[in-house]
Amino acid sequence: MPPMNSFSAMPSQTVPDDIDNTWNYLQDGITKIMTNLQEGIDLSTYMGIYTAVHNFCTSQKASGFNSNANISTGAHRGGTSGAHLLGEDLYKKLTEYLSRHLEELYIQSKAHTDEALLAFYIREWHRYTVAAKYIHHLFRYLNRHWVKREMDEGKKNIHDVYTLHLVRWREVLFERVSGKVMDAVLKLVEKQRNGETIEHNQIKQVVDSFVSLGLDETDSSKTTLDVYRYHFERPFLEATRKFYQNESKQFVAENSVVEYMKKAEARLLEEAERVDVYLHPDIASALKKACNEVLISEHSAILRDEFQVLLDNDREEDMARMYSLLFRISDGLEPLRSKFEAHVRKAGLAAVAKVAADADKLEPKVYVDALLEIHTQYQGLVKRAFNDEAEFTRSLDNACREFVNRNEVCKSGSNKSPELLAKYTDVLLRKSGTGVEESELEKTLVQIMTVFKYIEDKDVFQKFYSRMLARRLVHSNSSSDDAETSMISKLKEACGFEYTNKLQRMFQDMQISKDLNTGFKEHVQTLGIKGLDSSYSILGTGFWPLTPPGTTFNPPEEISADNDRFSRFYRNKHEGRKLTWLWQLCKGEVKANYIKNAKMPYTFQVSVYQMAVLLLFNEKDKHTYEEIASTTQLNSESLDPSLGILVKAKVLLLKPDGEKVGPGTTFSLNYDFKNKKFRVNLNVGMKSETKQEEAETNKTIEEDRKLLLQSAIVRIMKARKRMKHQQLVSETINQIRQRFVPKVADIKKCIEILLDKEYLERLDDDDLGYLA
Amino acid sequence: MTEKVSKVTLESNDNVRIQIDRAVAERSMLIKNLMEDLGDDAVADSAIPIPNVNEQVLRKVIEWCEKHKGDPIQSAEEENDNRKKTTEIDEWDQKFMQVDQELLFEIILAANYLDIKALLDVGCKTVANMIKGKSPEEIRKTFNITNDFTAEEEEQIRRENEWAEDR
Amino acid sequence: MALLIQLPPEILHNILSFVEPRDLVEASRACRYLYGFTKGNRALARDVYYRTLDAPPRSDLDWEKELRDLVWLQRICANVSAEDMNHEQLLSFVYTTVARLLQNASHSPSASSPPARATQTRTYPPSRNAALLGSLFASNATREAFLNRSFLCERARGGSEARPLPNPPRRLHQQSAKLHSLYGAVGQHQHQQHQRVAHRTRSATSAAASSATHLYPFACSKVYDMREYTPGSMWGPFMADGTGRADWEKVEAILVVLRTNIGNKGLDKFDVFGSLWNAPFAGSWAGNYNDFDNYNFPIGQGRLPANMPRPALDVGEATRLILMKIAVTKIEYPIDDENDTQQQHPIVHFSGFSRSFDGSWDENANSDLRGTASMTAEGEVRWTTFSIFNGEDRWRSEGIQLGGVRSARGVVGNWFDNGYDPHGPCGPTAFWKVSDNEPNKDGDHRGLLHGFLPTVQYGYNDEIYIDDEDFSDVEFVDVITHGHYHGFDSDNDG
Repeated sequence: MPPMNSFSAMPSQTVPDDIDNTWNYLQDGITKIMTNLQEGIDLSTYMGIYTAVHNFCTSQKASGFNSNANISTGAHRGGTSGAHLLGEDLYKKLTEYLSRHLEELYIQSKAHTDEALLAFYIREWHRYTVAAKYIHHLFRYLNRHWVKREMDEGKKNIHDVYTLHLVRWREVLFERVSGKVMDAVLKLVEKQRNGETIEHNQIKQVVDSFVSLGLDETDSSKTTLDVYRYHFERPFLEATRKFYQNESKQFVAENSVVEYMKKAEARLLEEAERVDVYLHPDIASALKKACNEVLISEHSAILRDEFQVLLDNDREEDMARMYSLLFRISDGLEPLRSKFEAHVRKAGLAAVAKVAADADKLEPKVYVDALLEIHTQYQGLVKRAFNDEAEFTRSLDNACREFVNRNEVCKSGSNKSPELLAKYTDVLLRKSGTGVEESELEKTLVQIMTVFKYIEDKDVFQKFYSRMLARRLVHSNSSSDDAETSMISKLKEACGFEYTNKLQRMFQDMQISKDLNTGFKEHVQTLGIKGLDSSYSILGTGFWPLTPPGTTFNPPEEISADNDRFSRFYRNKHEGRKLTWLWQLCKGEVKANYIKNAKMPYTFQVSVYQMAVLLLFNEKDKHTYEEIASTTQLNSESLDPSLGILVKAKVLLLKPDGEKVGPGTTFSLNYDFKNKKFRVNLNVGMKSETKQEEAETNKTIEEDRKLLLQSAIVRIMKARKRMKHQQLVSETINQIRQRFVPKVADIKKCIEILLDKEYLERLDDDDLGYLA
Repeated sequence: MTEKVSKVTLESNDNVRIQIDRAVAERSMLIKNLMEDLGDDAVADSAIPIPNVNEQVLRKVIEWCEKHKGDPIQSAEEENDNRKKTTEIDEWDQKFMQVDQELLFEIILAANYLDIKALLDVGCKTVANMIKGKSPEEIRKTFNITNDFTAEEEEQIRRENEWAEDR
Repeated sequence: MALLIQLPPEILHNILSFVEPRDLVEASRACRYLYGFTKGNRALARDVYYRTLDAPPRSDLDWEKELRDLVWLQRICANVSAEDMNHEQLLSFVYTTVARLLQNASHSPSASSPPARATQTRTYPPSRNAALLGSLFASNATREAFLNRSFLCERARGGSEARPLPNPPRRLHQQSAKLHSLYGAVGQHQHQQHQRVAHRTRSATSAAASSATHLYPFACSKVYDMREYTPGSMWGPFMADGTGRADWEKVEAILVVLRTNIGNKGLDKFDVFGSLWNAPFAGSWAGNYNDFDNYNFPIGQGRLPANMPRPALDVGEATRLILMKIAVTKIEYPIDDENDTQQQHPIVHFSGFSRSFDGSWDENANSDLRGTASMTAEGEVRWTTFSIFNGEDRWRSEGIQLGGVRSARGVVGNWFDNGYDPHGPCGPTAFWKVSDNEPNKDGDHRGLLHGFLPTVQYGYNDEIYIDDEDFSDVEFVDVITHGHYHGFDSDNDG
């Protein structure tokens, strides 16, 4: 045997299988590891302990064992037969040793309180677990065989040696001191919450220790957080609640709500950091929940009350703070949203009321700008203070829809908003002296669409828009094709293909007409005729919101010749198509070579009707009303205004003077006509004309709506075949809502009409059926 | 802390020191744990005493560890899965285990002591193969076991092991 | 010198955990110490069991007894003596031990075997128990001794032609027939040599037919004997006494007939047949009795007219393959607790459909299905199926699942007219699970059909279209044999 270093002789040489000797030997080593590890363990001691454990467990020899057993009883000895492994004694001794050691520690712990206790617990825990790891290794032979066999056989109270250490610690020491340790921890945390600097690493180590003690009794290879949750989390959360309950109560009593919000925000941040710095992540959500409850939920009423004040005073930053606080609790924001919605609606109505003083003279731009301003302001608030949250955006939309469709201006007529919006669009898209920048124009169109989105009667907008687009196209005074296209595609995006179908066709017609005119000019040239410098637009019936002229008309020779030529040319190209001349929209220019004092001849821009009248004066200088009427074939509704303007502009002189244009009057050419401009626009519409147009538009809207409703009803019934009356009504509302908000009474009326027309039939039980 | 040592010295119980690669030594869980616990410093200058193994056996064990130093270490879970246990022994190990019975047992005991699971299994499989397919008498002969049954006992066991109705 | 028996017990345990079960017995006889060490050593017995056999579904078996019985079985099978031939208790022991080993066969894929390819038909995982049993019955003598002791086999051996059919059937006959049925490859084993040659030369038809000739006619005479179809036997492979116990000799006969037909069709070399009809013993499917995702079987049905001549038959039959796909619709739990021991398992109701594999030339193959699986008094699984045409039950089948719950061997029985028409038609049927495929959303049957793809060589179109809109759970394959319809002769009945 080699001489062993400083350590005593190996027990294996003395009495190998004697538990007392083995244990005496082992205990010296274990105690050294437990209490004095810092001095180090030398190789021989380490190997000595391991070998002693090994030798004890393998000391069982066949010789003598079982040799005198009666074989007939062998089968009945069960687990205690030859398979028996040694180790139980050692395990017991170790268990007892650990209990004694920990009992000792418990007694020592009584001498300490608060931070001293904390330091003691942590120091001993550290020392103990390091030792446990050593001993676990040194007892590995016991673990490998005896412990493993016991566990295989399902013994619940046998653990591997390291786990045994933890179990002992928990039972002998931890159960008795954890309360006091926790008290110390909580005191320390409170100190920190009160602004003192603490040694938070201590708390972290306590947490780690508590977590390590979570042993799953049913499966030692697993751990649970039960111990930690019960002994640490529970008291920690309780203390946290208490602390913040007291603090917030006092703070609210002494400070403003805004100040309180700042305080709460800071505290919440602080607690979140606390988790990261020294707590177990498991506590994060529970701690957050507890803090939210005492810091926010319990004060949510006063926070909400403050919201109106903040809104009224535009305290964006504070509103953002309130949002982020109430966001943390369930149902915290709903009251804010409804307050916000009411507030925006009020603001919108007030803005409209301000500009609505004289509704009749209300400029479309002023009105739309007023709407936009409110929207822009509160959309900004939603973005900056309410995290651009969808729910708040919905509230904003609800409010805007309300004040856009139902406000002071709309009182005079519910179609007022879409009409004004369409008119504003017309102003923007029409050629004008102001000349808005292209980029500026695009931006404004986007804003138009913002308002458009809220318009409920989108069909009204469509009507006005198409009329005005027609006018712009026919009179070619659109400011830019690009802008027109951009607007149409925006509408298409918002309402679909069907909505803009006609608008697009109008556009196409103009393009086709351009090509047609080029072709016609070439055609005329090849004929070698010197005709008029004319241009024709071919507008598809049904796409344009235009009606044939309300009067007969006999165009003058000069025009009809060119006209017929074009008609022949067109028929040649498109056989079978019928052309109807919309004379009321035609215009031209005539040169006045007869005026005496003119340095150069005046040019009159006139309607075709006016042109027909003026050309009569090429033959003689004076015509009676009756002569003019019979030659032109115009009825008085078209003729009178045309003459009226010529008289008013003093191109023609009326006899008797001051008389109203009409039968019995005579017109003569004014050779002394004078004007500042050489180009004189005489083709100006009458005020009454536009008014009439508006009324007409509104009338067609009602008719169109009926048709729209009927076709929707038929479409639904065709698909469903059979439906309850009530069901059909609500389904119809659903389908049509995109265009306008239908009245239930109107839908019922339409259903009656369809029943009369036998598209539908009444069935039992308030059901309606579809008739193919 | 010194550099991670790459060699360690083992000392057999007959006082022979053998220096080997750290990776070779760490096939033994005992030595692996020891170095983890005591640190590299402890083994840098002193030999690790192996009180239960003599030079001859230790050299044999080291030879095996050298050969298998690159093998993956089995997880505890795999070790416990009986279905995965095979009785096959690879060729090198078979040759390695061709030693007299006494040395074979000593290698097994040393592997058991040093906690080299794979070597222990190879040894046990070798012994198992010596048992397989043998009659009791052949087993006795192979392992030098004395038949200590009485004649009656032997008869009783024979009957126990024979098929009979109603059992 | 160190002795084996001087090693610490943990090392000795480790050594002995590597030996075979029979070595453990031998070692225990060497000396008192080894006797004492092994006797009652549950841990050691368990380790050896797990190393040698499949992990059983239960972990509280009497490991020592299991090993001891296995060793006995091995010994008995290895040394068949002439006197064993009629030793009823010995056969009984073999029979129960084999049944238990099959019961405890593996139902979970071993970690080492790679998962089946998704597109391929999945079959049961390789079973150590089945492989071991297969090797035990590898020799002709062993099979002769235990598998071929039924009346049918005795009759085929000749000399018993004059003997009357024992009534009630003899226990030895029954147990042997059951073993024979569990073993599988019925009627083929005497001629395995030929079979292999036949496979290589691809003239399987004639070889397979000739190999079964000696049993086949006798089997036919039993299978198509209308006297066997009685209310007492529920028209299925049950005893005529109305107890609902399985009549294993009927099962055996059905297997012989179907096996021959499959051979005649040259189908037995394809995976879907080969693995189940040619390999001895089968493992188990995973899951429980009422865990229905696990039942996918091909069905074999033989069809012959009611009144076959009494003498041995050798008539031409046609076999059809049918895909069946079923899903559980209801599970009925036993109401009273008194029959607890027998009715541990609930009655499982299922429904599904069947489609012909051979194109659709026989409309009888394409129908809706419904049925039940329940437990007989003896603990066998009884399957009842109904083929539904135009909403009416048309054909019915009664069958027994070979090897019990979870067995991969399949179900064997009879089919007949739903109205119990005493004039037939009727015939044998068998179905066995070929696919454990999880129901896939798009109802792709390709995976299942892969097992059959070689049929393309025989002119089948691989574009087998299966309308699966409403069926998403379980897939089946069905094999049907057609017979010639003979004229009905009422005088012969009775």
